[in-house]
Amino acid sequence: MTPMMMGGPGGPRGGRPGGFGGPGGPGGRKPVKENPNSVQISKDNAKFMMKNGFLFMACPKDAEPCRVHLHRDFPFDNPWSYISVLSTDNTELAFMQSVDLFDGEDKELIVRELERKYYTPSIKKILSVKDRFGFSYWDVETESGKVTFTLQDTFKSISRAGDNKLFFSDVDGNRFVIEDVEALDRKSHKKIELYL
Amino acid sequence: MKLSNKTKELFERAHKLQPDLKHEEVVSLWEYNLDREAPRGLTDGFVLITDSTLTVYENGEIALCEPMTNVKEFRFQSGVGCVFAEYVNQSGESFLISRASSSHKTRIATAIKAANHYLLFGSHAFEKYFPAANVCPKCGRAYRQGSETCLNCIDTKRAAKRLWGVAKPYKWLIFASMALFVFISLLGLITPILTEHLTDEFILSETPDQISPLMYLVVIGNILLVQLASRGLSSVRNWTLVIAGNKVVHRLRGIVFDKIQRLSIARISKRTAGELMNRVSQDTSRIRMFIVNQIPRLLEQLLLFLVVGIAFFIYDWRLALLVVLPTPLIALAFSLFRGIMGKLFRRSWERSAQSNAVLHDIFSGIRVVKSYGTEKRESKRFEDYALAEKNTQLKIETKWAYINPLLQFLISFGEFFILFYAGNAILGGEMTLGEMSKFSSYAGMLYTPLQFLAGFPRQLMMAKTSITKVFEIIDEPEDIKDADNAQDIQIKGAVSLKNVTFGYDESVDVLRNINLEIKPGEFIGLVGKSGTGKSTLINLVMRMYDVDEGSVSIDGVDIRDISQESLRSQIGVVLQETFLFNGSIYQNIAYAKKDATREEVIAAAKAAGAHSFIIRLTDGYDTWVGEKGNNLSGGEKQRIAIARALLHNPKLLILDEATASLDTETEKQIQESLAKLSHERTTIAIAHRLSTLRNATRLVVLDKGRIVEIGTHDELIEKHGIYYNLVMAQREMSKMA
Repeated sequence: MTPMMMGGPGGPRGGRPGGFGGPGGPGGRKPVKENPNSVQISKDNAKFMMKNGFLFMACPKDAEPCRVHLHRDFPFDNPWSYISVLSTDNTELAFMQSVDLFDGEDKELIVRELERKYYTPSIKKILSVKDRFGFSYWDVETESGKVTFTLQDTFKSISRAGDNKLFFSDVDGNRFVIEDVEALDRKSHKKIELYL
Repeated sequence: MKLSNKTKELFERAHKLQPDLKHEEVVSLWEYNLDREAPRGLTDGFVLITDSTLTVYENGEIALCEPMTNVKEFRFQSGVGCVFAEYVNQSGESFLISRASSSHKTRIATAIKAANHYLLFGSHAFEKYFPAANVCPKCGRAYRQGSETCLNCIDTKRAAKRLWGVAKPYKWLIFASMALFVFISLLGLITPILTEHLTDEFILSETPDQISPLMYLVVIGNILLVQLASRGLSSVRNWTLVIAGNKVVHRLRGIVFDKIQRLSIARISKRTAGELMNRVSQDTSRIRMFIVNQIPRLLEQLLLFLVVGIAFFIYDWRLALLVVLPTPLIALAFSLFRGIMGKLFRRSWERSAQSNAVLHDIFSGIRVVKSYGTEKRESKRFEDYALAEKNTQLKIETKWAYINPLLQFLISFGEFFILFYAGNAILGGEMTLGEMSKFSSYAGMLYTPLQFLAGFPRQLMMAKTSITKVFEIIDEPEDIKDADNAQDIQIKGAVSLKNVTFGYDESVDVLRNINLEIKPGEFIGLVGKSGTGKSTLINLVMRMYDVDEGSVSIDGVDIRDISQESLRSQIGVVLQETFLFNGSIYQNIAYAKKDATREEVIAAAKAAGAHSFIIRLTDGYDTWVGEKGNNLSGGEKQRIAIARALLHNPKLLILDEATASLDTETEKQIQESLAKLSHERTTIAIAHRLSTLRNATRLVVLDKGRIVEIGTHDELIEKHGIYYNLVMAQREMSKMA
């Protein structure tokens, strides 16, 4: 099972689980087990393939392929580097310094799997933002059409990565991104200005 | 079957796809919207699970069809921003069923639970998992578990209505202030008339010798009287305002504070202490200012505007027109600037909250800052935030500095017209000097409301921001509520968990199907690696969270039917992290029981092994311990916390790594004193140091959210299972030491 989405306000119980348990409280996050044998992988020692709709990895290449989850270690700052390859019980099997260590079909599979797991439509235009009692209601145009979403505690639901990249986490746990806030058209920029 | 509209819609779809489908055959069903393979592709997908088959339709075509006899289990998985559903076949191989955006999360998680229920028990559980009330009637989205508020359609009632609710108990005081405001301004109307009289009849009298000195004194005296009355009434008004204001803010603070206290741990921990403090103290003050100062003044000024305006028109409509001429312009300017200022104030609020939060953060972690020598870096961090706050503030002030004189000028523009018009009229002999002085006084009165209105947007925006922040807290749904018929019970100490399943997030179960019967007086040790759900289990017994499935009961009563106060007052809790309040050691121990005698406190301290070190302190039990008890060692603080828990002699004692920070010698001491008392109470303890649990009557071993072993130490050692391995690992460690 993949680790829970990172941070973000999420639902009533989302956000920061654990609570009362103090530092030992694991909350809803499934612990990723430390594996001293986790290996650095590249196209030389690992191979990826799809099966039943899931990603499988063979490492070393002649080993029996097993189902894996890809996990971005720095999803905001470095989406294409520092990728952990986890087993289905969340042990880190391998570590990928960068997707560029792979090429051809392998790289294609890795990129597609990451994009598939991190579903983050990119916002192209902000049509309207209504702010009422701590909730903000957004009407936007993404690459895959018009979307409306709701943010609770707007300032905390928008995370900044770098200077101009913004990530949104809505009340349902959906993610959206503005790749470059300065590249937005003037009207859209004016609407988001307040939250910068 | 009572179904929500959304579920009915799903059924209609299912019928269209499979015309011969019978209602009772349906095990579960859901929609999905993302292509299973292409990362950004959209699709129109539908999953239908019946007694016999699992069918997946994509864009109207069958994409997958599997007999149910081949399916062993359905699984739900969270991606980021999306969710996956899969099934495991009889030979243990997994297959992807669907991928959907996170908006579908709750619905799909529920649908999968229903499907698994069928696989596990062979019975349909549609009503259980698809109850009619589980869906927002407005938008059809499923509620999050334990919540009855749809975050998408949250009812944002009008601010005015909400505020009135808070101010209502003091309505007479507020009405009285309003009435006084009005009366005082009406009194103000008299003075110009008297002055006119004074000017025309006495000062500019054409026959000064005929003036009676007495009459003159009467007019002067009247002016004085009006002034006196006006000042006197103002004092009374200020008095009523202060009283009403303080009562409103007191009540509002009470409401906010109570609400914060009632919120569950999960919700409270979303916000920082600094932020919550801001809302309780600053925002409520601003709201008070608004209710008791701004609103009555607004009404007063509007009324004044109306009365003077009408009077003006009756006296001389041309003059009146001249005076009101600039008003539309002003109104336009207001609406224009209101938007700009509102945004700026909102941002300023966030900035100041941010810098306060940073300050709080740095000061709370001052030990870390000092020990890493990062004072300079932290100063810089705070400076950055302070700078951002300053810049926003500066922006507001400069904008205001531009806007305000402009508005003021627009407002007073009319006075030039009066001067011009009246001057002409006097020269032409149509108006007396007294009349002119009266008119210009009235014009001034007409403009005061306008000037007030010019400043009002700023007040309104400031208040609105605070109102939003405060009501955000007040509107936060309570996840854990007392049942209507919640009872107070006398706990004997039997705890029973039946088929308990729970996850902090609906999609990930932290505890799965836990069954545990604890008899009164038992000492249960919870063992397992970190992250296996031990603390979660304890949280459920204390009802910090409600279970998703199954039940937790104490002495046979479901804890959801026990009032929270009655429940928690009979449970003693010691956590790994202790908190000591600002106060003496005595007060900190006595916290658990208001009416504890000194003897009881000492007895509890003795049982906790705290007495011996307390009496060595100069001030003994009166020793003041700071916010975090900084002048005590970790072990000492821990023993005070244990004493606190023991003081009210709880029938159920929960120790979550309570003795972890103590040395083994002290721990042993406390263990022994606890053991002496423990036959009277049920104890549930979590400890990584397994020796801590040597007195346990039974050990419960958790792994991956399930109970895997139960038994005494000897039984479990014999079993050579997980517990055995843990014990062996710890022995290795202590050998090395």
